[in-house]
Amino acid sequence: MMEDVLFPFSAIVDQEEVKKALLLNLISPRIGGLLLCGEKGTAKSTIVRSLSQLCPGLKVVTLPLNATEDRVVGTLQMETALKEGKKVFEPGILAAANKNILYIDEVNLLSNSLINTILDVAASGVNHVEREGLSHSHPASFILIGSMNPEEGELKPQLLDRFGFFVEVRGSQEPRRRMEIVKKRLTFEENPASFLENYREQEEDLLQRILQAKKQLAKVKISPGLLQLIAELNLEAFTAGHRGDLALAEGARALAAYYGRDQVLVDDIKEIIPLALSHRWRTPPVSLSDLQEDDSAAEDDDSALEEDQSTLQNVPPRTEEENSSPLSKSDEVKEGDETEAEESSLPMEDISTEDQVFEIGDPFKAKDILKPLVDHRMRNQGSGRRSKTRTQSRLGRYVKYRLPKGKVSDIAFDATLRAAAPYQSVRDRKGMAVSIHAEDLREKIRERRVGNTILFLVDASGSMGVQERMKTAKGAIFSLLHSAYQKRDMVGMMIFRGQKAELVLPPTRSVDLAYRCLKELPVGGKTPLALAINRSVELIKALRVKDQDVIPTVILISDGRTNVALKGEDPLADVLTVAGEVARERIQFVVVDTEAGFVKLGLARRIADQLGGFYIRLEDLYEGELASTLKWVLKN
Amino acid sequence: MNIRRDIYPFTAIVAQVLMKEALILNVINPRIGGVLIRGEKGTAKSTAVRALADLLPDKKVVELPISSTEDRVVGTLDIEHTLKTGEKRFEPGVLAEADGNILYVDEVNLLDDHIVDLLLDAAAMGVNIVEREGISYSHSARFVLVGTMNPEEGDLRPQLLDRFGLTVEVVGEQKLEDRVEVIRRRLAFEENPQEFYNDYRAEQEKLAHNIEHARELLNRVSLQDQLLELTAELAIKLGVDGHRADITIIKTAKTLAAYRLRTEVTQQDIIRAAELVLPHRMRRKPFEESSLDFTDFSRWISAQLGEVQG
Repeated sequence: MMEDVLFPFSAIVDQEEVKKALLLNLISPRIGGLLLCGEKGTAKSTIVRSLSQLCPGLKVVTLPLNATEDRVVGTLQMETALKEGKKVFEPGILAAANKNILYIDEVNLLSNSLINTILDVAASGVNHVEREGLSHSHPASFILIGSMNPEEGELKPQLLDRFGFFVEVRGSQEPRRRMEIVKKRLTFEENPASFLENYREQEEDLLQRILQAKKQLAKVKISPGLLQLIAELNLEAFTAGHRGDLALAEGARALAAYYGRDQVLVDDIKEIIPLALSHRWRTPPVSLSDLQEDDSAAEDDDSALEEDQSTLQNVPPRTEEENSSPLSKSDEVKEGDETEAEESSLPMEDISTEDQVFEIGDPFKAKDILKPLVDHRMRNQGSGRRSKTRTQSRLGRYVKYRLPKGKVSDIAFDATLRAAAPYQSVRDRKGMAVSIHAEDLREKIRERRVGNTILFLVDASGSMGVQERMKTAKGAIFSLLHSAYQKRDMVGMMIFRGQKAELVLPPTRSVDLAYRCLKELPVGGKTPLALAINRSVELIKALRVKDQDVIPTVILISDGRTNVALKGEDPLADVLTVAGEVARERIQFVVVDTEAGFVKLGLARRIADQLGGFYIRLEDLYEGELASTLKWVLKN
Repeated sequence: MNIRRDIYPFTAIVAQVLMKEALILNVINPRIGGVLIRGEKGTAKSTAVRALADLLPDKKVVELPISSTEDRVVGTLDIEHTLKTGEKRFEPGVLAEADGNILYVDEVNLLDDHIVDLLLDAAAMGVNIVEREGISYSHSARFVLVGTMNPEEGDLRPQLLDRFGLTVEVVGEQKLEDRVEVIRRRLAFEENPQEFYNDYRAEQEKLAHNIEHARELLNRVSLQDQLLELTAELAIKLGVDGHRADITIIKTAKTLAAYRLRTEVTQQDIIRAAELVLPHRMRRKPFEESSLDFTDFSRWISAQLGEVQG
């Protein structure tokens, strides 16, 4: 069974933001949970699990990725139904999580339907079950904590928004810190019990502080002026809905409670902003540059805030002790440049201990406070775009069941048994424990993540040799390959020149192979573009026969100057006709225009339009933008 | 030690020093976190892994076939029992069997994505939590994960890659005499496994004894702070994700020292450990060959160590 001793919360080195976010959620569960997003091996799970040891009586209920819907929401208790013919509700994970923590590791890999169910319950605090002839509801209020590695794919923005707080977790870049981490880990593994003993006192102190803060929370008030600031900040950040406002307000209250105050201060709010808004920040409908340059709009905001100054003047500033408390430690422990940039732009150091009412100048400008988040958010966009698909095949993860249509091949035994159970007392069982009728049969619904299939259709004709076009194209292809392999995308390559289009690399997940193949790509000859497009479509169709879940993208890299016709007619007309025909094939085309020189014919763009595809010039396709471009393309 | 007639003796495998060492280190110290063996077909990858069984008095090698379905991996509702008795019962899967043992996945890169997720989950927690098909059950699932793969058939997801403590790259023997020896031994083994085994019995026992001794020494191996600091700097310089690399290098170096029957970690241990731990954790850049040049690599580490140790 599980090891008795967990790595203690107080022994975790750095990760102050994570600790803060977790503690505040413990103090006020109304914050709405936390999403930890970060690279591998940064103690994400360790820190979450340690909470059950820190707070006796609190369970960290883990939702495994292989969970099926019946176990998540609860279901008909089969045994009672079989033996007594009675329908009794058997509680699931959501019931176990009530008043506890529900933890989902790798939340971005969880089935969409499950995550939606869980988020709905998390929001309402009630699990209402209507299934298998049962109608049942029970309280289910829990702190939802998710962790994920963005390399493995993103979480949709609407799901992101459902987590109250968000922290980007990174490893320490400081040798001494790293040493400390290794040492602590090894000491712990050698003798967990004695390691824990060394932290017993710290753990106990922290627990007492949390318990006190929970009591204090009810007394914490937030002034109307600050509520307005919160609303203002959310408007500036273009957060959707009101969850951002709530998380920010509730987080600030919890922080005030932690410090033992009964008033929320501006600094509390500033400290919570990165936690509550960084994942909700959206690009405003106007361009981002407006945010930095256009100050005229902000003046109205300022005046609105200044009117509230009177309300704020009664609020005492933070004490020195508060500023050096463990929760604001992030001031001292800097983790890399990015944190530093964020911290320094939130002018917290300015707060003096003298009896002075803090200024409502620049720090109050929502825009300025939020500015660092713009950069932060840009980085967050990362990569990852695997798609989850309901699959007809028997591969994939069993998430729930359905009534079968036609012949049943993939029986959901558990669901079938539950369906049959209540009727056993009235059925002739012929000596068996259970008698199953055809109408009881249920079949599995499976979900499977399918990588995209990307086929590079590369023009290797003579014109590609001009001005090192091929070299640039290769560079672009390779960086695409590189990003593709992490997402389990299949990548293939077809080149065309002379009279033929040739599949040089059948779709594969091996970058090594693709790389070798790319290195040896020859150039020269004519351009049979129409033929090439036809071939690529044939290939995609063949792949679909093998695996119907394939999501294909063809990336055509060419200048569009075709000179080999299909039937001896006008080559260009041929291409445009073919392009028009294949546009109906549910294939996403991207045309990368390699046309060089002063006189541009713009053929590639015409072909792209005809294909209904996305058009981009090779020059614009440098590495940094490549991933986002492709992502955009695949989404639309 | 009981004789396994069907298994090729580990000590009879020709050359492939790094691979054999990586496997043995994991046997001595299961906390290293397993090993991924990458290489072309026919390089004794699977033979070596399966041969481990003979060196492990208390462990077995449990194989996870790549065609496994998720219910067989994590365990499922025992249908037969339910139909007969009307009661639910958990039917354990491969992860239950692998608990305390070595879990071996041949062609691990071809494993279906959702099975990989299950492995990641279990490997991360050391527990298999089953919440499916009306069953709620959890059991310990601590195993040494060993995978073999041919990189030409596709790569591994970075997340799974990171779960392997060590990686080794194997190639077919390039020396003529070694190749001849490989064939000679293989033929001898196939002709008479019993006799072949007897020829290696002494060596097998010696290795088993060495492993046992190393296990006892492991907790007494000490390490200078200097070396620890260097490891941290190395990880930062190479831009590896998270802290797992540092921790694994230190664990591996300590185990290496124990295997060589020492109680003090040396420079060479760190270099060797880094060679096993880092290759798959470094971020690859476009247009870089996939494998690192290790002579340069070790030279670089040595230079760094030289600086540190003055």
